[in-house]
Amino acid sequence: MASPDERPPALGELPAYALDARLSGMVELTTQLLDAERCSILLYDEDTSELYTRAAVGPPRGTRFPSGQGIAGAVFTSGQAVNIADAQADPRFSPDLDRQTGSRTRNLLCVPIRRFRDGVPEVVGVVEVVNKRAGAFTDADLKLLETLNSRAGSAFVDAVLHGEAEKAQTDEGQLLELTAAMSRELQLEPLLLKIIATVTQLLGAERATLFMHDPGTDELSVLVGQDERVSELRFPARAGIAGHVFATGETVDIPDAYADPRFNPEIDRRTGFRTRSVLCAPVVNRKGETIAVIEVLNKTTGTFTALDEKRLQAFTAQASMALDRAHLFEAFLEKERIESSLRLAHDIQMGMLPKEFPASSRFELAAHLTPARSVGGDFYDFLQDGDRLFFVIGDVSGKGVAAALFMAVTKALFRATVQTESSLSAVLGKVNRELCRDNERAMFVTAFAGWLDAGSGEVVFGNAGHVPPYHVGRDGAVAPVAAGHGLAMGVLPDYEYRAASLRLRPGEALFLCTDGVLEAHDARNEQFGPGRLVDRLASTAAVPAADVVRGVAAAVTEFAKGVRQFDDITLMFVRYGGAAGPPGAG
Amino acid sequence: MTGIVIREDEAGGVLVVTLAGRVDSNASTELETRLIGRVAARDTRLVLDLQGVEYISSAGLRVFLRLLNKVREAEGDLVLCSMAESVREVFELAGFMSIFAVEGSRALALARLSAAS
Repeated sequence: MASPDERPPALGELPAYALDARLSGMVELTTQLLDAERCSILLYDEDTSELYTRAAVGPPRGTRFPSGQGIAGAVFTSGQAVNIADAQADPRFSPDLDRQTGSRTRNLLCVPIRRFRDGVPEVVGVVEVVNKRAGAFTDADLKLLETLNSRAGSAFVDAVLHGEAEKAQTDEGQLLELTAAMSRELQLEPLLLKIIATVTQLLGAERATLFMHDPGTDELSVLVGQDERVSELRFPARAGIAGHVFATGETVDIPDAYADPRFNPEIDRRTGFRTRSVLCAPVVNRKGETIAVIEVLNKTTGTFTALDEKRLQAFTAQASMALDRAHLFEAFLEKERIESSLRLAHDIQMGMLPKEFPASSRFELAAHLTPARSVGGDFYDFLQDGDRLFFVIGDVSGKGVAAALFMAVTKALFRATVQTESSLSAVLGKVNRELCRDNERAMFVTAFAGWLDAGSGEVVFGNAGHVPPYHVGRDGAVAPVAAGHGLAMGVLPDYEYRAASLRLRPGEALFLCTDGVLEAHDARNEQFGPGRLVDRLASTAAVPAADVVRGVAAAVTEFAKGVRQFDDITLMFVRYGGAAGPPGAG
Repeated sequence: MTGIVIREDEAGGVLVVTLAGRVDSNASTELETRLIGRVAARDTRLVLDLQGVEYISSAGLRVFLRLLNKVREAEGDLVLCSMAESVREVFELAGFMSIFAVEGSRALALARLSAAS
């Protein structure tokens, strides 16, 4: 059991034997040189505002007392050295201290001990020399003590500082050793277990509990059990001792948990553990938010001490950093998971798109797809069968892997169906029915599909909820093709798609795109829109299809420069060359 | 990214969900969880008031479509109302005006639901 007297002082504690030896040497030397009966070094304890005896020859005048009390207190407070010829006559003198030590103080010298902290002198204690063996202390004695003190004082200060450093090193060393393993743990759950194990060992406790705050539900969650079995319990964030510490940010030291009204015996009930003493501190992150509460239970040697409290606070700072790192790592892993799924989606999407375009004297076709970073579900495809060229462009709802997979299915369905069905409405109808099957997530795809007859220039087409394409005339006239518009695919299995048709004259073309082209926006949030697209298409009469596609894609990219591309940008250009070849050739 | 604001009100046995903002990929996950959760909790008579919606993407349309499927499975009713012109265009383009019940105002939407019951 720790009694209040054993309460450790703030300065030079722990195994500061070296410091003690040096201080003892100093008081002995001082006593001899000044021919005195007793000498003490009293240091200030910041935590209790008391002076306490750090080293002494002869019975010390009180081991611990308020820093303003007595002559030592006056010297400490004023910073002025004193030579008191008749101590008993001095109003500041405390006869109590004599009574405690059973000795009589006749005269004394008392000088302050200073040290410099960040260049500012600071009184950290006093040296008191009591009872000149022969007569009274002289001014020369005082001067000698001051000299000793300032010379030895620097040695003393060194010693104190050394002692502090030693203490800090010891504490830190222990803390570091224990926390090093903890700090290497980046995964959250193992880290929580390590924190619990570390703090239990560090404070010599039987058990520790870490309550993580869940801001979503405003609950404290606990991983219970220190062995193999781990289970989670949840409590309102204001319940129990942990809740009190969470709410107030205070560290609390409770010697007898069951006598404390805040104690929540719920965990004991569930775990069969008997809590006696509790030390509980908040874990605060860099932003000053309390993210968790650590409860340390049952100090094996009795109750927790002020030193335990300090060590727990030092520990929670380490734990907080470890938790921060673990959270960052989790976020990093999550990002990695997303990135890798996006790479997968990108590979699915790009791997399925044909990059070689059919070259014929009777038609030209080119297409281009710039995938968004988050990967949409755009696609294009074409299939040449003798005189007939099938082409399709599509856009699956949503983004990411789901969209990429749905796109892959849609494209494969089109390929298969085009080769077995003879009419475009049948193709669209069949693909649609297949897409509606087992479509719990209600994915859908918009598409524009057409069949170009390379003999006549007739295009039979259907539009399943897609952006209408543009007809591009030889004279630069550009007009949207609104006909044949129906419902997106994957929505209604029995929907009947009605095909429409138009006839391209030699040199005329169709430009198809997805909404990623029209909705691409610049830094001022202005959309590329149909106006810019039509302008661009108006001057393409003599431009090869591949260059038209590249040019429009580049124009969209240039327009949206510096803005993150949110959607896939897909475009396709189909130009009819004429039954006998391209215009001018025949 | 301003995101989306979702408000829910009860009006005579009908759940009126008011949406505001951009119904895009980012917003659709939250919206989907909320709305599908309501239908699962037997709120099957719904009005979706879209007055405050300034933009809807295909990901947003998918959520509405899935909601419609769920409501129909539960033999409930869903009416959309107060669409801005730009939102209506997106619905029209995908052909969705023919599959959703759409009214000009919340009052008309509620009237349509009470006539249906």
